[in-house]
Amino acid sequence: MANPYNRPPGPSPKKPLAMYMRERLEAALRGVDADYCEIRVEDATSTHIGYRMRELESIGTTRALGGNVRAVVNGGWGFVSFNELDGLEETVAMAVRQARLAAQEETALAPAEPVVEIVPAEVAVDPATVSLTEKKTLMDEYVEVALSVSDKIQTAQVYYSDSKRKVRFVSSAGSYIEQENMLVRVGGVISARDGGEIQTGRTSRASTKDFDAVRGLHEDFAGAARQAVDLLDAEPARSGEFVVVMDPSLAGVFIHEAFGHLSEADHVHDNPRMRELLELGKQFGPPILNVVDSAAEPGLSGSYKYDSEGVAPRKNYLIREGRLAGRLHSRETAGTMGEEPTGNARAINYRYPPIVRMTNTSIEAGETSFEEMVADVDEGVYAVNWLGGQTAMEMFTFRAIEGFMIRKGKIAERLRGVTLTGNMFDTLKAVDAVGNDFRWDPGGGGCGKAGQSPLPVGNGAPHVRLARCVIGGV
Amino acid sequence: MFYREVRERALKAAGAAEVYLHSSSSTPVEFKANKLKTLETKESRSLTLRVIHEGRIGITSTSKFEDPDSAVAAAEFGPEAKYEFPKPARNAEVDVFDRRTPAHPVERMVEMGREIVDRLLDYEGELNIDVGLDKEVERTLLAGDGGELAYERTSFGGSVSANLVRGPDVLDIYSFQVDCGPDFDVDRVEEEITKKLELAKVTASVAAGELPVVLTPIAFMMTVGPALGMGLNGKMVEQGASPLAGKIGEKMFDERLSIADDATLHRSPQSCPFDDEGVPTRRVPLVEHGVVKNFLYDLQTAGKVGASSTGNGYGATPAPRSSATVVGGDEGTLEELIAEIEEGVLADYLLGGGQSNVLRGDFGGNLLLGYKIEKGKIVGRLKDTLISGNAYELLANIGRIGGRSEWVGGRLCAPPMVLEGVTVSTKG
Repeated sequence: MANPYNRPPGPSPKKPLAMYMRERLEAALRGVDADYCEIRVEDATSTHIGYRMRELESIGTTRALGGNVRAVVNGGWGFVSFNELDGLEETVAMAVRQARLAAQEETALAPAEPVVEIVPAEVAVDPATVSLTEKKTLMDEYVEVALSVSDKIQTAQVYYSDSKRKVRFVSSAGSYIEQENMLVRVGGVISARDGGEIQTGRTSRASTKDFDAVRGLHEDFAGAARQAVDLLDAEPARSGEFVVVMDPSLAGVFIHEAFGHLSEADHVHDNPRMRELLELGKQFGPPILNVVDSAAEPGLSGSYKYDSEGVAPRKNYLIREGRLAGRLHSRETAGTMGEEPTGNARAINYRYPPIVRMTNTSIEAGETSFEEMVADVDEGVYAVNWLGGQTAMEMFTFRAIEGFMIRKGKIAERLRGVTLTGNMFDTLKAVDAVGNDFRWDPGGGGCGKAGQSPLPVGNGAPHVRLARCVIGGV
Repeated sequence: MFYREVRERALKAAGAAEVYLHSSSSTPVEFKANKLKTLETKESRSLTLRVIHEGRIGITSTSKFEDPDSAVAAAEFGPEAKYEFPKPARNAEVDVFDRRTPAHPVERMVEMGREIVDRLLDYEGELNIDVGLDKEVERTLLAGDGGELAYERTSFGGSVSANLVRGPDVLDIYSFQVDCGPDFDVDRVEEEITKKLELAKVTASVAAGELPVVLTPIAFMMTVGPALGMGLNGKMVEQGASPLAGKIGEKMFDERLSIADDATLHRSPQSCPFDDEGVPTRRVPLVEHGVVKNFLYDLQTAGKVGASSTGNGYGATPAPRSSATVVGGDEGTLEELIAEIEEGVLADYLLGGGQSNVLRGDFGGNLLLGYKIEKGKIVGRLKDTLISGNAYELLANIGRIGGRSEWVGGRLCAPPMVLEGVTVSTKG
């Protein structure tokens, strides 16, 4: 079948690749001698613009065309990535040879229905139709707005990026999927300085559907600049254990970082001790805590119709009423654990094999209002927005952009340098209030794992209160 | 040759053009959960066309070798060029190609992985071990007005992580090495991991406060490293964002501290004869006896501040970046440093070390692997403990710098050191 929306950009390509791509890919897999084999071919174009102060520091476009073959024989995997499509049969043979060399025991892939589908990107205003001049003018305005806030603004970095990616997937099980996606993102990192003191504010906005989503953000950029200036006079956070209220942005990152990574079954499926530790049904938090990962939620940074193994994702409850309710799987981790595949095998691009990843991860709304949550705190910390986060198994640490003391039920003085740290098992049990003000973070997120970074993900949460958490001040 | 055509086509529209070609071929071998899991072959290539057109820079990159015109289009909006493309030149002393590496058989890598897993399982049967071994050949070519220059670089490296779960306690220990040749030292991996597992068997606790902290080279990289990296980067200096801007010639650090960037080290996988802009590499002293000597520059940033490139312009869109950071040593082994401490912390790995206000010099991270020191001895592993401080303040007055420097994955070579008065926070 011809694909009308698939002419490669650029001046007259030598071969009408798209027309024959499906046949070429399917032919390369014909008669393949492996338990399973797949080919992914990807064509991506991206544009980026970077400003520092009023100066356009970098502008450019990138085109990436490449693919990979992945094969499995008796549980051993072979993986070959390439930029040159010629000689695909030989590439397939090479991946199979490697898989054979790595072969150990039995292949255990959870079954997945073969799918034949073409999934175009659903885009309202495509960034490709907006001129570079218009994009640049918009960024100029954001820079001006940030700089006009105060003469204490030291640097304003404003960035724009858009990317469009088309991935073709063909498997020895009979799948052929073409999937297109778009991501447009703007952001600003704005620093203010007063003597030796430097503080930073941030903003970002992402959309998978519409260039217009990154227009009209002048107030966000002014807000990030004001945040940096205000932090100059903030008190350094005191270290110690506090009652901590996290705002929705921070709570969303908290659940991604502190808990989400542990729900990725590749840490668990071949590690008997971890399986014991993370047995489904175990009480992990209070009954008011519900945690979900779902790529099926439409239109978010981590949304898709099929994962990189061609499996349709579903809404996965990771914690339900405080109990461990599920985990995220690839076909292999689901197969070895005897659980259902969840469609969470994702590869950041053709240079990497798919691994188990989160998509859009959230804490579901509860019943407490923000006012109620703060009202009965005698002394605590209100931690707002996130600068970054990391975990290593059950240990986590992350940094809020700013914070406030809570004193006698009221939000009090501003704090800088608020770092939350601890052990996930203790901290989830310490959740004692879940807000009724759920929202998805409009900035989207980027997640790193096994060298594949930043993978687009979504984070969402309401305000969440921890009865105790260690704050490390600086 | 196609890249010459790309450049010539661009020259018809633009005043000046250069092509940067980079390709790599790597062969990772991956063991997961004590078993061989995946063999990979990764081929990649990219062509970058850089033009200076009517005084402005335009850059475009592609893995599909066509469409060079958009670099000229990008130059319409691009930043004003503060430099001209140089005639590429090399530092002829630098040797980063080991012919044994491409010839090293994958089967040998598989055997080596098995040996690592077996030896560690002999020590502790409950371990869950992941091993990644990789050999890589990279080729870099720069074609500009003054001619063409190319080099090949090999690297052979690996990382090992050993995971031990006891009840709700999860312990991960890592070891990594990289070199131009296939000289991965299995004995060193075994020694490093078993020693750390041994020390972590007992847990200890520490009271919050300000304490001396012994940093291993890894901990150095994860605490003060990011602040130094940003502070000494010419781009941050040019922006006025680095606290070290304008401090050349001033003593900002303890006089025992010396730091250099060195892309000329023999057989170091971060070394190269010229940077990605064709500027020959050299050893760049950054801090000598506590005095700030240089910042790292690429051509454009150097042009803006009236300095010269230090040969640190890396990437398809060049920006100042460090190659290998070498911190000078003083005297004493890690054990000797520990022996002098009445009460303190030995920090090895941290989580979230670079997420603070790095520009200002702040660091703060949870100890993933750290130990309590009492009366000169390690008494046990610390958990739920966070260390934080300011790199500029703590490095102005260092407790002690050790003598034996060690490599951390090819990017940093540093001795252990003692920082005084680091903030230690903990639960309760």
